[in-house]
Amino acid sequence: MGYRRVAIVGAGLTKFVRRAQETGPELSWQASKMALDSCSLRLKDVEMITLGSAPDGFDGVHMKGEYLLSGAGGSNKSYIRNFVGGGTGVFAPIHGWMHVASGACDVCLVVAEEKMSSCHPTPQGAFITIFDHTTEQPLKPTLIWIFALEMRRYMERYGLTRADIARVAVKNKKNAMDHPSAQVAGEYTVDDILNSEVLAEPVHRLDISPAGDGAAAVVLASEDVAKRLTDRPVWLDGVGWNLDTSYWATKDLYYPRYVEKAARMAYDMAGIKEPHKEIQVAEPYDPFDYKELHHMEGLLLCPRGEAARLTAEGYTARTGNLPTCPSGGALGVGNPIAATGLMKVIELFLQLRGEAGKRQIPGKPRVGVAQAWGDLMQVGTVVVCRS
Amino acid sequence: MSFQEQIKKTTSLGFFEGQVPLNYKYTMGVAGERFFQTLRDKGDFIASKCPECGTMAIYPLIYCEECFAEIKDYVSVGLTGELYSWTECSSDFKGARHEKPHLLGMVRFQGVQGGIIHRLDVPLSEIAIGMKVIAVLRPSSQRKGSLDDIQCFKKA
Repeated sequence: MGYRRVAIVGAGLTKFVRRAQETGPELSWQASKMALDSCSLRLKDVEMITLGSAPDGFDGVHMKGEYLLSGAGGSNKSYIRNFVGGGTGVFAPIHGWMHVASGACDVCLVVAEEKMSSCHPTPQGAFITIFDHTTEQPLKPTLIWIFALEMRRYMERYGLTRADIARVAVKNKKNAMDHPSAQVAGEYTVDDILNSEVLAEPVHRLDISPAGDGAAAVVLASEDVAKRLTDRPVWLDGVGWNLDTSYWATKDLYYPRYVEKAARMAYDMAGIKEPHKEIQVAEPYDPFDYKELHHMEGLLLCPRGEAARLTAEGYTARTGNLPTCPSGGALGVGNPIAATGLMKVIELFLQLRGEAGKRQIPGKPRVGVAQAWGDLMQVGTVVVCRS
Repeated sequence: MSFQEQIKKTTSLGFFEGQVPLNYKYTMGVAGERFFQTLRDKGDFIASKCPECGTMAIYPLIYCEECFAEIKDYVSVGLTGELYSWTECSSDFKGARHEKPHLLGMVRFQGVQGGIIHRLDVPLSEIAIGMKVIAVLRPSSQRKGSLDDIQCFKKA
C-alpha cells in the first residue's frame, strides 16, 4: 500500500477517577512518562507528538491542545492536537500512525487526555451548541436524550428488551474489577441496571458510563526501530475512520454505517476478510450499554441484530469465542472521553502481548480491533492490531 | 457582490440567542497546590527543581518540561525578583475602558525558568526593566492560597 509498518511499543495509563487533583498537563505527563518508561525511551528519543482530547468545554480550557502541550512532552517538538469528538481516543493513534507510516518520523508519542470534572454542573452543558440552533436547541436537547431515541429504535428494530441490553453493563463493570485504572467497576445484576435511576427512557443511570478524569499514552515506532526496542511489538496493521451526516435525524438509528465504513477501511488495510472469524478480541466503544451491541454489529463481528443474543450466551465474555471489552470498557473502567478510546487500544496491546494479567483472555490472541465513536452520533474510528 | 451585501436591512433578520451554560472548578494540580499552600502558610514563593538537569521553574511543575523527569523537590526563591517586562492596560476583556490604566509586570527570579505576572505598584516614571521588585502579600490571616494572596509587586 506504500505505507511503512507501524508498531505500538509502549503504553501508559493513569487511574480514571471522578475528580483528579492533577491538572490536565499533570495527568498527560503521568501517562506519557509511563509509556516512555515502559519501552525504555526518553523524551529526547521522541520525534513527533500527537495529542487527542475531546471538546475544549470539558476541561474548560480553550485551545486545550496548547494547554496540555508541556505535559505531553510537546514543548519544542513537532506537536499537534487531533480531535473528532468521542472518536478521538482511537483517532489519536491513527493520527500517530500517519506520522510514522508516512515516513515523517520513526518514533511518535500519542497522548489522550480528558479532565471532565472541572465542568459544572455537568459536562452536558458543553454539548448544547452541537445541536442545530434553529431546529433542535429550542427543545433543550441533551446527549442522553438523543441516545435514548437511538436505543429505543435499536430495541424496536430487533425486538430487544432493556434486560437484553443491560447484560453488557453487567459484563463490563465486572470485567473492570480486574483493571487497576477502573473508576466504576463492580458486581451488578441485570435488575440493578434496570432499577437504577431513569435519565431518559429507556436510558437509566447504570446504562451509562459516568464522566471522569484520566489520560493514556502509547509510543509508536517504525518497523526497524520497533524491532530494536522490543521483541513483542504490536502492529497497527489497519486504521479507518469515517463520518456520517451531521443531520442525525436522517439516519436509521439502529445501524452505525459509519462504523462499518471505518471498519472496512481498517480491515482492508490489515488484510482481514472475515472479521467475525479472524478477530479474537474486541474493544468496541461502550459509553452506553446498547452502544457495545451497536458497534459489534457495525464492526461486522456478528450479524445485525444478533449482538444481544450472543452477549446473553456468553460469546462476548472473557472466556467466550469473542471477548469484547475485556478491559471493562467505558462502562467499567470509566469514560474520560479521549483517554477511554486510547485505553481500549492499550488493552489490545496488553492482550496481544499476553500481559493483561487477571484480564488476560485465553488462547493467545493475535488479532484485535478497537473502536471509538462520537461527534453527533456520526464518527467511527477503528484500529486493527496484530501481534 | 457577496450574499451579505444584498441584504439592505440586516436588523430584520431572524436570530437565536444562545449560550454555553457552564461553570468550572479547576483544581490547582499537585505542584500548584504546593505553591499556593506555601504562599498562604509561609508567605514564600517556591520553584520546582528538576533532579536530573537542575532546571528550576515557577510556577512549579511535577515534571521537567525539558527532560520529562519527575520532580519532587521544591526550593524557596523568596519574594524578590527582577522586572522582566511590563505593560499599562487601558481596557478590559469586554472592551470597556479602565478609569485608570492597570500596570502589570512580569517578574523573574534568579536562576528560575518562568516567572510571576501580577499587578505592579510602581510610579510610571520609575519603572525600568531589570529593576528589583518585591511581592506585597496580604496579611497572613487574609491569605486563602490563591493568586490574590499577592497584592502587587513594588520597588524592592
